[in-house]
Amino acid sequence: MSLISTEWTILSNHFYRQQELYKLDWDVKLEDYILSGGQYGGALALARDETQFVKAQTSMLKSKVFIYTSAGKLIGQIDWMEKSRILSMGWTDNGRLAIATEDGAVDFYSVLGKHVWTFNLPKAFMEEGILFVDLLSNGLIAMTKTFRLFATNEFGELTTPLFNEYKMPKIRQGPKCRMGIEAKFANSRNVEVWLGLSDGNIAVIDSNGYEERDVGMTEREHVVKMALSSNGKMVCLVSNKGRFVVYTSDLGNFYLDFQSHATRAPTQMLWCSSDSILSYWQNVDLLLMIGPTGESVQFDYDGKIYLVPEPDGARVVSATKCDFISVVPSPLTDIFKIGSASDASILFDAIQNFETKSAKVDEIIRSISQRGKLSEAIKMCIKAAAHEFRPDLQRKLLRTACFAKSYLDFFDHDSYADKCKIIRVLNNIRTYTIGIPITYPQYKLLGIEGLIERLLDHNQHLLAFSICKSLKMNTDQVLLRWAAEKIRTNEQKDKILQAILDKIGMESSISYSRIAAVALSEGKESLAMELLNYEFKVAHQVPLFLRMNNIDFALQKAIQSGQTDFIYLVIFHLIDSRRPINESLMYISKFPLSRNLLVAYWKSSYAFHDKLKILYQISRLDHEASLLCVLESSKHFLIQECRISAQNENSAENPENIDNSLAIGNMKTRPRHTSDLSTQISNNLLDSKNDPREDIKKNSLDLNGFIEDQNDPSEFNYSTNETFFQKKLQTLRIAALSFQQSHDSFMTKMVQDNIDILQLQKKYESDYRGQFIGLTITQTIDKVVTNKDLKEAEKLYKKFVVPQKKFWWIVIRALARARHFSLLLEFSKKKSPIGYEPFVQVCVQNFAPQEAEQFVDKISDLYLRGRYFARLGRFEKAREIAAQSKNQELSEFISELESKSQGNDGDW
Amino acid sequence: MSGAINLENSRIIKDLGLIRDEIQQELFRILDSIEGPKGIVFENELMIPLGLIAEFHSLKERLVQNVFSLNSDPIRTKLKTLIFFVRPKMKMMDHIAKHLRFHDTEDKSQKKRCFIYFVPRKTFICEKLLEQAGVKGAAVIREFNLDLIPLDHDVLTLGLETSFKEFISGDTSSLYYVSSSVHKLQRFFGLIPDIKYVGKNGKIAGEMLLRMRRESPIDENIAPKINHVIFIDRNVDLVTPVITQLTYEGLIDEMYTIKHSYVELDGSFLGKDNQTKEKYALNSNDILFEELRDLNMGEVGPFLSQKAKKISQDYNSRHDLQELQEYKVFIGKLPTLQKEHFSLKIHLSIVEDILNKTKDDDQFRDKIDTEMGILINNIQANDTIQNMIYREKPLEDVLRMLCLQSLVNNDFKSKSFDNFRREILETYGFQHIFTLANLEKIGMFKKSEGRSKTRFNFNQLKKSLNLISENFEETKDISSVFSGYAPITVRLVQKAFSSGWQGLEDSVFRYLSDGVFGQFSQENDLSNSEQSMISEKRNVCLVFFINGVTFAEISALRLLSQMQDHSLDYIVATTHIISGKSLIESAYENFDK
Repeated sequence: MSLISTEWTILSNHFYRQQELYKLDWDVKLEDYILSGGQYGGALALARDETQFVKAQTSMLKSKVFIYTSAGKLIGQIDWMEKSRILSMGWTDNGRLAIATEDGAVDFYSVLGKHVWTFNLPKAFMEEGILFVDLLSNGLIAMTKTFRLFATNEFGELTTPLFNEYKMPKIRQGPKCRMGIEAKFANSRNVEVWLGLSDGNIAVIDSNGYEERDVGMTEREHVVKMALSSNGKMVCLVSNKGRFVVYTSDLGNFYLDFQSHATRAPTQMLWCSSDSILSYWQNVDLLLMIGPTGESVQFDYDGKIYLVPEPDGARVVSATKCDFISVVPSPLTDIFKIGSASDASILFDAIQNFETKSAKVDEIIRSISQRGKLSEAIKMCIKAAAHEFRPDLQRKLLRTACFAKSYLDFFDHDSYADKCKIIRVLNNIRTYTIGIPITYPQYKLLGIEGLIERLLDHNQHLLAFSICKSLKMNTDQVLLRWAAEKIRTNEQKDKILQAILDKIGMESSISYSRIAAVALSEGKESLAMELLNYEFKVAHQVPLFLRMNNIDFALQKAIQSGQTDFIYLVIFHLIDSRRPINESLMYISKFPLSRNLLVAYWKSSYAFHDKLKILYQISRLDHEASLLCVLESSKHFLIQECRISAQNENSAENPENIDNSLAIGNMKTRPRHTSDLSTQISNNLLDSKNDPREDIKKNSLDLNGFIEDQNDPSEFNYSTNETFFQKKLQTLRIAALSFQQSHDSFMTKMVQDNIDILQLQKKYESDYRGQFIGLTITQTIDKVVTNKDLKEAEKLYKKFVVPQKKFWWIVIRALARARHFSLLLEFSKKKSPIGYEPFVQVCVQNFAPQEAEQFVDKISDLYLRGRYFARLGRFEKAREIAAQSKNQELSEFISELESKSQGNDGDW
Repeated sequence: MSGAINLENSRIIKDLGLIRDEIQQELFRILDSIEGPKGIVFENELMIPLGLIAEFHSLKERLVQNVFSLNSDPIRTKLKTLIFFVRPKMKMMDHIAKHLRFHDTEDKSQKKRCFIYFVPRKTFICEKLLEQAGVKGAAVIREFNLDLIPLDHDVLTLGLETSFKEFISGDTSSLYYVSSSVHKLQRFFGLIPDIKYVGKNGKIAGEMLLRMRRESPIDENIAPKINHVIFIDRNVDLVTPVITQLTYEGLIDEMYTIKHSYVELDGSFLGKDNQTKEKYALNSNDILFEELRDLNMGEVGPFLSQKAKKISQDYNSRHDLQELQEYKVFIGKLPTLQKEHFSLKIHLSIVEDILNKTKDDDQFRDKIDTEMGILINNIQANDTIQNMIYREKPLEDVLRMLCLQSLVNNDFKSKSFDNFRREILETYGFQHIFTLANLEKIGMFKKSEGRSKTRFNFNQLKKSLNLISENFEETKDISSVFSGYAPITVRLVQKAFSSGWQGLEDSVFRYLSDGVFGQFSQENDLSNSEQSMISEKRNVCLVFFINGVTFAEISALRLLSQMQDHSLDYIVATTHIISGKSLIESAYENFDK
């Protein structure tokens, strides 16, 4: 029987163990430092505790943050000389060190101390000062000195997280203590904040609101420390009177009230898994464990210690060693508890005895087997091996399992082998060299991918690679990270390339562009170029060629990829760069596809039209350019134009307005230099003496006033807004001129006609009633006719070269619709070029069958005449004609219609 | 999914439903990942496609409490979480920016969490636009990979309603979605051994598909359930879509417009209030419709009356029942009978309405006659078209006729080209200056520039592809879909599997607009025995119409697969379904009236 159980501590029927993980020979005086340790056996970050007096010889250390493994090996240093005072340190879920400083920055570092990225707290903290910042595993809570509370739940990478400001009532005094609860444990699914108030209550605050809760503090008693259990279900509160109270985390159920002898708030207090509490007072060198029913036990340490919470226990870091205090996992108690009579325990003992040459073992195993419990007992041994740290015990447990399983007909040997592999992996990781003392439950939580990721963070590529191989996992990520490290070395280019090609090869699914990207960011451009040749995803080459400023390749590859998104990437790279616009456009206009895409983008906003016109010019697309001018005469662009010129006015006066104007115009303001471009264009396009652009400039000021007056300028109306109307005409004139320049007489005429009709329409609006602007030429004639002004209609007909037949159609339709039948009759007296059938039709359509009849007689074709009479229900007349013309078909038609018409007449 | 097609044991590919299931799962994952009550904001174009993926009540179960449509109006809601589903289009970014800014400024009391899901992918340009509008940080940007949605057992659409418009502006963004959607099909149904393409865009799509195999490998050990894919570029055949469709389904589309298999009908058709419009799903869930959809309109009437007799006979058979057993059988048939009866009533109403609208209307006749006159005898229809303009017939009809004549008769003489253009601007408004320019740009309506310039030669194709068939009724030829004209696209498919495309270069392909065509093969890892197992079954061919397909063409493909000695089944995939009307409307541009 092993004696390991004698090292266990019993507390409220639970066994606890304090295992020494590593002896530390790191020569660190913990009293001088603040320390933060990462979960899952993560590294320890140490920074000078600035509240402590600094001895002369250590003052140089002040300028650094050190990162040690739990085994006390220094793996990273961060220079802190220039930086602001540290307010809080913490480790994120993905193993990064986060440091919040007094200047409002939150910096992230790799485990080896390499800076990854930084973001800043909201502006309020700069203005009002920081009261506290607490880092959580994937977020933070922070309060300004004026007690405004902020929280965030997402530390993305490279994007500043979204901060929520939580609503709080005005408080006069800062909180006595605080606790941030990770979103995953909070009801609101947002970070929840608890504040200990001076009146003894707890304020629970989240995105939904603020609530104060009574936690049973007596008079002058208030909470000074709070901690949430690792499963998020329990909470422990410590009061200034040394009282420990335990509640469920919704404060619904009360569990424990423990009065300690302490007179001060504990230095550190946390949960050891979810059923006991560890509390440490530095002033009296006391580490106390309080069990579920209020018993307590004391652990002895010399000098200052730090507690690092783990999901299944807590690491204790002292000057000389690193321990792990936890509940003993149940498979271990099952086997090793003194007096245990479990099958696994019996099995284990029997096989130990067999090794000391006792023959009873066979009998014992068979008896367990007969009870059907052997498989379970074996599994228990394997589980126990996984939970055990000591390799010798692991070996004994596994050997027991291995021996006993030969008694079973059926056993899942693969899962046994897998477990053994995992145990070997964990042992390797726990060695001094790696120094990650991860437990089996922690490994289960972190997952193998997470573990590999940690190893890569530690630059342990070879180990990570062999683990992947032995567990038959994809090695891409490992190789990629390895290649990145390889590139960072100072070896020769060819050697690096060869090494990477040897390891990764050609058939791998690893993206060479990602490797090339590393080379590029390390400044090794020619290496990047060569690596990029091995990338087979065309589109992925594009961003890198851009970074290398190889535009030709980038654009070519983007076009080849067929993914327009990548073409836009190149386009934006070009037009947003500082290079001369003509040069950028030369590149883009080389390929119709890239040109078309840029056109589509630039067309959408007036702000880009000047540049678009240059593009058209370069590409010799005169027709398109002229059409763009026409397009600019639409409401949509007229409004945009006014807004943009208004912004330019404003921003010229007051540069701070740019922000506001961006919000209004939602597109970039027109860059200064484009005004030169527009003159360039006008010089090229316009030789005319009366440059209509001059008028536009004159008008722009009035328009600004107009825009400001209106809430929604898109509602404006050409009829009532003279300025806009004039502006539309001027823009159209430019378009006409532009067509004229490119010798397109047809289009010039069409645009000119449009200008003319608009002007006439303006006039008609005052001459007649109703709205004319916006009508087509045909509709305008129609409306003029409706107003009985046939003379004016005639004028329009001649001016706009309306075909004669069409003019007749318009007139008779309008007259019939307006029920000017006498005028219609008069009009019909001229010789109709469209015959008289349409007269009948328009009358019928306007429910005037009697008037229609007058015109049926005028139809020359007898057959048609007969049909129309029949349709009008004048069957006797129709039959007369049928008889007259001896048309059989007509007669049939008439009789069919007549029989049908019983009941519904005139329905055709 | 009240109207969505039932894909259990789908007709051509048994487990076609998998692709819809996957999209549905992804949608649910998205909704589940965002905690708490939420509202969804759809771009209009996505409303029906998403409805075909998931029913509203299943969204409700995922705490979706309200659904809004995305336009320029502000969304006023107390909900604190809003999820936007949008296509990556520039115009939509404007709307979104407006909303985000609105929530930020006017509605301060209600700080909202906003998520933008781009469908199917986010693009640099949209992110850039959001950034320029200063709202990029105000929302979480993600993707929802909604691609091919089954409209029926044999029809899949990407629902990219603007892809033809983009084609006009020279933007080929949709091609990537075309290829990646086929690549995804390969993931489910195995590597497609044979890839054919016709037209420039077809070639790009085919090549991209080949590349994707290498770029994102799939399991190649699945026996292919799709044996061929043909990418057809709409640009190859712009004639077919402008002709009036004469199949039952095609005519319904012409008359009432079908959107993602739904048609809006007078309530009275469905036995409801006449005042309201009701949506009705037209797909093969409706067995009667499945039989009707591909018929030429002339055959529909007789077929329906026969069917009506049969159904009422079945229905009345209850009077003759004597044995209990017979009653049982009858009762068992009753639900089907009732369903058939219901659908019969609807289709009778539709047919009656269509006939009313067409029969007495000489102009409908004239239109069809003129179309056929142009197609068969190359008549000059200038007078007819002019008359349409005088009578102010809908512009789409006028332009369809103009395009048809331009395409078939090798464009217009300069003078009549200008006359027509002027008359259109005079009659329908100056804004159509853009419409005309767009149609001219893609070669649908232009003036002749001499023989050398224009490649597309309808008259040559008419002969070599046998496009016109006078006696389609007897021969059961696919040309029945247009009463005597067979679509170029479908004839090309037919040729591909009858005589093969080799040797057609001089007689066919050189007369198509860009003359591009070709073929790739993809070898898979399957052993010979597995291969031979496959060949015993009827082969399946996926016909992917890039930039649109009409119902008439789909019907023609169905008829083709039913023809004797034709051993292929067709599945049609498309960027979107078009009609002559929607195609012409794609050429419109926003401008003042």
